[in-house]
Amino acid sequence: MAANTTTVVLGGGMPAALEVLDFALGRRPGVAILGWDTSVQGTVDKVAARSPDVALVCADLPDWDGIKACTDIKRLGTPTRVIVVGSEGDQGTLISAVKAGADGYVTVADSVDDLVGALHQVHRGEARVPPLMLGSLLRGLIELRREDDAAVERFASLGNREREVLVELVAGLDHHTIATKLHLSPHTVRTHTQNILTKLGVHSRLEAARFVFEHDLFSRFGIGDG
Amino acid sequence: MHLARNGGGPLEADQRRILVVGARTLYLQALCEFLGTTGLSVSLLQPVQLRDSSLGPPPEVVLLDCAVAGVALEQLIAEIREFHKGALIVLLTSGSARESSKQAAMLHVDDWVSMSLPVAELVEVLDRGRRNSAARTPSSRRPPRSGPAVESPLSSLSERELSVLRLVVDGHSADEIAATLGISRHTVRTHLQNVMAKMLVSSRMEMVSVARKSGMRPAPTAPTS
Repeated sequence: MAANTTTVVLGGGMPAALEVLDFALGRRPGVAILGWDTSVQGTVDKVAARSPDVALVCADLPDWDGIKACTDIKRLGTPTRVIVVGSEGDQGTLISAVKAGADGYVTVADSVDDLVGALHQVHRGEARVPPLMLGSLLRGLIELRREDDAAVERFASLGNREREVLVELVAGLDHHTIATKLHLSPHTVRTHTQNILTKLGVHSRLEAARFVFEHDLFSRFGIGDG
Repeated sequence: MHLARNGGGPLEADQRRILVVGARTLYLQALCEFLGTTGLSVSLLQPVQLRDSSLGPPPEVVLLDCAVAGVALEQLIAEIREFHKGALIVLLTSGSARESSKQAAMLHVDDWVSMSLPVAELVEVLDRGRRNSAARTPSSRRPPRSGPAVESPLSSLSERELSVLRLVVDGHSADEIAATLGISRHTVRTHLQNVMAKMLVSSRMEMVSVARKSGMRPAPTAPTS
């Protein structure tokens, strides 16, 4: 492969879209497509096996989890860079993509040549975000960071026993099972639960679970399987 | 087929002209380039350009991408009918055969193709001899190949059950879910009981925990668009 060629693996939920992108990108000089896949796992496997310079994953439709694909590809620990394709102006997906480690973001409203430019850009190690979305991305990230800091602070205020109870709560155990497992009385578990909810500033165990996952608190505090 | 013509004359008389209308430029442009190699004459248009497109030779087929924001498909279809009388209108969808045929029937268009099918099927529909073929009833289409079988605890859930589950994972209460989906609280409860039975879990927390492990994520809280 020539040194200035960018090799690519595509992943997305729509076979026809991938086939035509494969065709359109493949006929442009400087781009070589190493394969495509319509499942998240298949895409990650192909990236692992073929080590492309760039993986292009689609996240513009709700039923194909491009963010998960991005996360899993980044977890491989290989130098493959990831571009996420999202809907135009979809700030939520852009932020999720950045959090998942994406190197670039392209919208479905961009042209094929825009995409080719983005492929080369991230291959060179540059980040690529549509300029129109950059301002609100930064604001969104700062806001997220603030919420995140507050979440970590709240979690840190939990006692050790409360953390243990929270792990079991999030795993879906009821009070009695938790009591047996942790050698406590159900009444004590209930008291811990109340205090946990108050300290986290949530109203239900379900909300507590969401809070924990959203801010990735377990793995950050080295608890459980995260 | 494609015989060399002296002086590169005008389009062959039988060359089919296709107008692609939609906002997902990335996919549609790639699609046009692909279709261009199959002997079709293809041009791509943004929905807002439709009014200016009545110039030039009329297309035989207008392929309209469903994923348009800020403008109703009904209005675009009315514009296509106005500016391109007699053109066959084919809807380009992203979803399953069932959703697609329903959408096509509701919009009274002539046919549909889905990007969830292999591109060969898409070409086949566009390339069909149209003069003597009455529009097929979309419901007669065979269902698309089912995706790769993934044995997930979520795989046996219906679409409705999945949407209820997704809202629970998002942290919504039964009342909120009922309001969001426009169903009664009681129905939400029934859905959740069925979901829990299918997922072999005994509490809602466990249900959420298993759903998360199967890859279901809460919706991002960031503002959308």
